[in-house]
Amino acid sequence: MRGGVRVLAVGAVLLALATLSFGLSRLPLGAWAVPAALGIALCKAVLIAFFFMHLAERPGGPRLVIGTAGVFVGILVGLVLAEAAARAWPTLPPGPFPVSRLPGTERSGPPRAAPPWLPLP
Amino acid sequence: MAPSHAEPTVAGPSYLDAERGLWSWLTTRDHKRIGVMFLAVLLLMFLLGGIFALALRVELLTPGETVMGRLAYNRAFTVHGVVMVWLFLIPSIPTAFGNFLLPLMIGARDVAFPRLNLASFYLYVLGAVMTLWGVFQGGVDTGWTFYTPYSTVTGRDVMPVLLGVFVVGFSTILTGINFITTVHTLRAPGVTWMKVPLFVWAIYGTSIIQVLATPVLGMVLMLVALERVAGAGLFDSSRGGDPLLFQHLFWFYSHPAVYIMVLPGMGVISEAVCAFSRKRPFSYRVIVWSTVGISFVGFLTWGHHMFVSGQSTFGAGAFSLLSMLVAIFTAMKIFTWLGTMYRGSLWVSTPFTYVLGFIFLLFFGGMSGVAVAVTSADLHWHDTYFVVAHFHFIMVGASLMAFLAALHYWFPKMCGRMYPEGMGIGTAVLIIFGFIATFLPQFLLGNLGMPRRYADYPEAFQPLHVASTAGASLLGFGFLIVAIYLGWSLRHGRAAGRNPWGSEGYEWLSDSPPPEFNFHAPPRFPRPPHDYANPGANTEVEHAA
Amino acid sequence: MRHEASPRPVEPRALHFGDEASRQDAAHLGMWIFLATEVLLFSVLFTAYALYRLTYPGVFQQAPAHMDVFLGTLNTFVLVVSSILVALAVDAIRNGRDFAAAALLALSVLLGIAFLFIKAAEYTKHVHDGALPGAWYAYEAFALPGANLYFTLYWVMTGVHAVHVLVGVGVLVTLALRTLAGEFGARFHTPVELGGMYWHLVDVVWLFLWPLLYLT
Repeated sequence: MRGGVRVLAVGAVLLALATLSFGLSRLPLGAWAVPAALGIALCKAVLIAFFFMHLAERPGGPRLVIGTAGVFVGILVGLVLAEAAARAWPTLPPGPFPVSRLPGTERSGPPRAAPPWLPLP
Repeated sequence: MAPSHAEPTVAGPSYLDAERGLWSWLTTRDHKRIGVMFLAVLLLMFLLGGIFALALRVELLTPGETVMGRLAYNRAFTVHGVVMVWLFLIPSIPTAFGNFLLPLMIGARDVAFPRLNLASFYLYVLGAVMTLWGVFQGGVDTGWTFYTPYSTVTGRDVMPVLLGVFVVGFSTILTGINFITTVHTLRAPGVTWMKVPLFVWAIYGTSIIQVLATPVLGMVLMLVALERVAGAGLFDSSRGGDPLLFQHLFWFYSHPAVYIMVLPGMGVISEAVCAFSRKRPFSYRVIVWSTVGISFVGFLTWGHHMFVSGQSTFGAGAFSLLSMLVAIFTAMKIFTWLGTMYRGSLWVSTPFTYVLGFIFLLFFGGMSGVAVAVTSADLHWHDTYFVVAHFHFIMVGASLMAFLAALHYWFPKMCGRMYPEGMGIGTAVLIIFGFIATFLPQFLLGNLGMPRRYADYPEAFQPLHVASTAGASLLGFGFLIVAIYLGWSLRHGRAAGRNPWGSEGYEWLSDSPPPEFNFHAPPRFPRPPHDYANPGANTEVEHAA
Repeated sequence: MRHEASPRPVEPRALHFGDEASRQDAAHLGMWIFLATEVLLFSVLFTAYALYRLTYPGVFQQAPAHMDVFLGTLNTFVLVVSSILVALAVDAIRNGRDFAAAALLALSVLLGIAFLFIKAAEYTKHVHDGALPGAWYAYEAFALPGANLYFTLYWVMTGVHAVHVLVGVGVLVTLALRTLAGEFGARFHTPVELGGMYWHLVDVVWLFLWPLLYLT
């Protein structure tokens, strides 16, 4: 039964963190809103991984695997952002083109996507 | 060289004879049979891709349209690229030789999830059929990279190909999961991490790349599909999207995919160099850590495909520097192989000839890679034949040579028969020279400004194109000879015996071809693989007494 | 296991894995690798989100005003509670209480289905607004360059996630039925643990989607 108590305790922390995250979103945090929300989400993810997904019982392989996955997600997001953040204006969206405010209503110009049912030339 | 082990006293049925009939093959969960089935399908794919390569070279023999129009040319190079990259090179060595050898090399009965392994094979076949059907009925002309925005606006039907490549990717993920789990959990007693054969390390590193990168590719292909169906706009600048995002995500997979293609080859070379130099690896640790290093650094370099696409100067500089790191790890491997050969007792056999070709061509491919990783130089060479020649040096010069080395080195392991050695060496020399004749002119063409993916060119380029086509014909002829003598040897080659090369690799401890469950008894591995100072120290148990 | 100098013929069908513990190790490791691929799959969408948030910061900050934050938050609590129930189910089956485990799994299935219905209600609202993905975007109240990208990402991210929820519900139903049939117990329950891990991963993904799409 001790396992059940631990599950409930972790669950209570998770629900509290979710409430905290919602509460923080009502406050004017400015630039800190996203890091705070993501930090809380990360805490919840770590709790779930360790206690619900049995990572606490399984050192070695599984921890290595999920840790590596985390590193590579960081590489993907980080390098793309680092590159894009240093880009000059016209190569960053929306770029030098006029962009339609409501894409569904545009009627001019060439079709940007050919529906698959169109006959092949 | 006499085999270092006594012949087995009792020969049980091999995996080939354990069960008979087509149905027993199609429903097998034996990793060796699955590996052989993969090998058969892969060779078919290689034949198909090769035929289209020759067709391209024939078209390029003379300027102007000769055997095919421009649209047909676009379709032909798409077929060549899609088949060779997605259906042959990426799965080639891991699924065929990795499946066959990995459990043997760690003393296991099978991979960790045998049923998953069979599922992976059928997914691959399904994906391959979908892709090929899509390429031919849709007349896809995007090249193997499916670059947006062209892939989202072309009138050709790209969708089945995207789905097919997605399914093939799923198959490689399953294989990767299987291999990583197998190496972690099924090593025989005595096979510690630092005694795992180098080929297994290479497959392990490759599997990590496959598992981490392939899902990214799958999602990107689905986003391209969404772009076509719903005009999603994520990669479309007229809707505020960023076409460069596609390139980022695509190359996050497809640059590491280069290492998926070449790392297993490096593993093959590490094994073959030791076996044919009769020496242990000059530095086992250096090869292991450079394998791990390439697997990691390979993920940091993708931006060098985007130097002229409008990425930021900072990004280009960072990716340029990071790309050069790969050369360091590759050079570590080359030096280690050379160090292994140095003062070894070299046996110039067919696999070893391919090994020499591999090292020579990898060196050129790698060095030209450093050259195109320099941003300023790449502005001149980008999208020219220089780049085409560079990556063919890696993919054909390195990966394919390693594939052929593996095919010859383990041919007796797989079927228990030898191929004609003299013919093998002669053909290997022919193939290596055919390769150089094909792609050396392309370096020169690219430097002169011949752009890739063009069906036409000015008259001045013709001599070099003729040389390239002549080389390609030699190359094709060489492959034909290999196919003929290997096919002949399957039936009529002389019996190989347990260990025709006298190799101390772990996989040679069991019979050739191995019995259904790999070993007659749990094997013992007190010494590292390729320990030629203590021949016969690693045994199947019954020989130890 | 020592087979020193055993005479031929040796039984070739020795166990594939040495014992049940190493079998479990392999199963868990394989599952974790699979979950890692799922993480990387979603990371593509998060990368796209990050890039467009960098490019259109204003649009992405205003966007939650056009979302149904109440339903989104409700869904968060639904998923977290269902995750807790699954964890309790695993604990129950480890202690041999099969019926309790099956009941807990069934409850979390109900919550999973509730999640999908709430999600469908949200989707209906967006369809009424005209906040559709891609070329069909026609939401007059939020007509800025980049707004269409936000909603496209919203549909794709939550859509891919909803597919995972659907698969997870299927997995949990199967597990509950097999538990009732007595296939799992204190000695053997690896499939319950693995299926539970999949459900937890679906939960974790939502825990990142929710603040990014609804809160900040």
